[in-house]
Amino acid sequence: MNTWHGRESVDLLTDLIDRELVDPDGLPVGRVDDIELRRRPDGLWEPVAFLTGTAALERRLPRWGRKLINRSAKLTGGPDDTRRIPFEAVTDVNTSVSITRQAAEAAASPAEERIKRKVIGRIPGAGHASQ
Amino acid sequence: MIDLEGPVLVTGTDTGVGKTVVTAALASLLLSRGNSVEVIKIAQTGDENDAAEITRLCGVRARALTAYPDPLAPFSAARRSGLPLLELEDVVEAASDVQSDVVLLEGAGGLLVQLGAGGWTARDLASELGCPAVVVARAGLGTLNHTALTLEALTRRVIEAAVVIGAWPAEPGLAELENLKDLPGPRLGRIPEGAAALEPEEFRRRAPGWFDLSESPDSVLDQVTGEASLLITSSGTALRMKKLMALTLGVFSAIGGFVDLGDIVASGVVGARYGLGLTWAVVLGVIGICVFAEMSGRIAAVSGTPVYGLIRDKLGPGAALVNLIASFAVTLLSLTAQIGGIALVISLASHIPHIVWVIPVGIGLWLVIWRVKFDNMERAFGLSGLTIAVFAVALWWLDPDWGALGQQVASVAPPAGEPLPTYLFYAIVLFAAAMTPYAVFFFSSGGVEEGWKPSDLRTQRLNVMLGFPLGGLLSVGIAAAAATVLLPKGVDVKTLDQVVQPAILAFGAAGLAVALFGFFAATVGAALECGLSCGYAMAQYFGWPWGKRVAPKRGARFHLTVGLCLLVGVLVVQTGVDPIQVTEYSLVFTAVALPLTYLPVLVAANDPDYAGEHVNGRLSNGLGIAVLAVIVIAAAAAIPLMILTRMGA
Amino acid sequence: MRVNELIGAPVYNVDGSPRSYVIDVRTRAEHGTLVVDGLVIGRHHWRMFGYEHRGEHGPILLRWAVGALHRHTRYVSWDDIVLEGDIVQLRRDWEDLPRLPGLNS
Repeated sequence: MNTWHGRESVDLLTDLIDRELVDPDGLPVGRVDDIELRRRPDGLWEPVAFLTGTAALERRLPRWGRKLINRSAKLTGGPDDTRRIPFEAVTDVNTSVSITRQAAEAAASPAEERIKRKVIGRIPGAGHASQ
Repeated sequence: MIDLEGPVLVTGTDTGVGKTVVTAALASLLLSRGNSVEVIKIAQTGDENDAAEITRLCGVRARALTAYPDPLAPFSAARRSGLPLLELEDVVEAASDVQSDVVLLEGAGGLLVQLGAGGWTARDLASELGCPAVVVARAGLGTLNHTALTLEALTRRVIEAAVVIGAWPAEPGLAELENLKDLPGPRLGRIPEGAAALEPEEFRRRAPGWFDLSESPDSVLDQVTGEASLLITSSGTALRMKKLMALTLGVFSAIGGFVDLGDIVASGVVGARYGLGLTWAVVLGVIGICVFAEMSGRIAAVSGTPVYGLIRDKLGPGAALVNLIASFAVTLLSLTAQIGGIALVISLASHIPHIVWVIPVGIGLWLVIWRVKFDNMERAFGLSGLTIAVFAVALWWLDPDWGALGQQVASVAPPAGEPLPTYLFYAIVLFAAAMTPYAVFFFSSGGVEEGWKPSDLRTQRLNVMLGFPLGGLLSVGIAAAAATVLLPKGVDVKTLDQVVQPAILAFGAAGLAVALFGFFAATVGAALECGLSCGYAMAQYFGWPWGKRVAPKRGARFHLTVGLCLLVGVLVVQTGVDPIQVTEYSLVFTAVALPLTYLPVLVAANDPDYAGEHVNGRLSNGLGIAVLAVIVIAAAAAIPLMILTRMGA
Repeated sequence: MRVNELIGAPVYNVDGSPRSYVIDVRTRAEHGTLVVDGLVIGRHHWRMFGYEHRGEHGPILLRWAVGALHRHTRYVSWDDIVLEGDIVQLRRDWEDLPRLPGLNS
């Protein structure tokens, strides 16, 4: 079976990096900011995990961008450690990368959680989607 | 048909009618539609474990709030066992505090069985939550009476309901077949007998087919977003009517939604100075926005990617960050202008200075974004904006020199005595007023929120192709009215009350009221779009969860961004800056920032990853490139012309 | 190793001259997983808008522009390179490397 989710060939930067990672409900978990490669015993390299998070993103930006993102992240308690999603957790690939619920929960952004708890969650009605 | 969103009560005409199987089947249906679901069994009695059974059948998380050992009604079972009774408030809280899109609440026994402290029933729960009820009924003899009684009990408390037959026999007899015709209430579905014995995989696969979500022909045309209307109803006409209504509403919303403070001000200023001589710029702008919006909408429908989603992928994070900062700044500037505009409109109506209104406006906007349903919001403000047509009506009433107006439209050069650079500056301003990127961010993100599919393409295209040009006509109406009333007097339009003059002249106080109402709707709609677009752009660049369709808790950073932008807008306007001036600056910078957002969309519209088989054809690409050329020219010329002509002085 | 450590890394020709940069990492599917096949290298590291492996039906002007920008883009198989720290050393001469399919059309 020489396809990976329907593809014979994948260019990591063009096809995977900067795409959105989504959970089974279709909600974004983050963007693919980097991909981890590992060398196999037979000498070939393979991509093993997606990396997402401000820290991984920063590295790809020009210096002014890095500073900007870093300072902004600090305002909300970040920047957070990079989160890792193993390739095995991928359930589908098209314009976004769908991952399993467990992987999505493990990779949830701590910044999102902090802001939910400290700001948004405190406002009445935060639990309801607009009805 | 009832809305399967948020909490939904599953009750029955009796005990043992199949509520548990129906709950599991409903959950499977919702999963297949892409919703997240969880189930709460309010009170478990006896030896059974309905929650576990539900999870077994459909894989959804299910829990019981409490359990009593005796197989009796919960109130009685609690009394016998001495275990505490459930409080209604606790159940309401449990039902409200969920993360999923839908929470199915399974009662115990029939609708009016007492479930907890004080004898509250499942009906009380549904009433407290304001949620609909699914009534599970038998197929055989006796069901007509029980179902009618249950439905009447629900109607009495204004609870919407739908009926599901819990176990339809493999070989229905005469009673079952006749009952099927006579069973009251909207029929939501029919579960075959023995469904619980199916393998979970088979159950999950077949369950959605047991339901029918279409409207019955006699019901009011309420759900007009065309959701799930692919099933054939017994009256094809009702279905076609509904689709037609949805289309019409969509077009009208687009017309009314096209106009914002920028269009109002630009049209008023230009009309009073050049008459209709810059209509060609409006035409270019309308063509531009149609092309831009159509491509974005197409991409949203085919790939579920909104504009900002694809910008980072196409440009890379560095360039996309520059883009984000620029677009965000321009949109925030527009938001500020719109907030000021709303305050101005209210001040014109109330004679209380606009500064006073800024904070209430900001709070009002935030509340709408926090609580109001997306499509209701869009529709309400879009339709109300149609009243700006009062300017066109006023124009006709004032019996202008149509010939002169026509001549102005045809001209593409500045009138005698008017300098060319200023003329071109205003052309760019008008063009930018029509081609605001925030409208496209909003449109495509909205499309993703509403779950557009390729089958929606035709409708959306029609909305865009009809709505925006007709919206452009509304702007031209304002300009023409200004041309007729203000141009002869040589008025240099600087304030909003000047723009309104033609309506007052034609229709007096009534004209003023209608015009102000239209301006109010247009600016509020635009402010909401700008605010949300700031959030969309930020969230989509970084990959945050976003949208109004999820609870704010699940889109915390998105909502924080929107809230902060509203705050900034309010603070800036509070400083007393002239909103009209802010508007003019926002238009110039819009023109400059346009190419950044447009080019990636044009490229993505050609990429099968984003547009599937609906990639641009020759015509779309021809138009697309032509529009790109105009955008680039406008972007390059905007600032030099602004400086040269000193903002069109 | 992370992909972004490779992207943008300088690529030296067999004779030691710096010729280009890594633009992308190409992988092939093998038994349901992905395996690194080679590197896309070129003079600039501007995004190719996905043209390089799909022979897009794009607006002709844009395809021509992208094609012109990437006339120096090549593909090198993983076996023909050596990673030395953060530099990629070619083991096969630049001139012998195949141009990227899809950009020629």
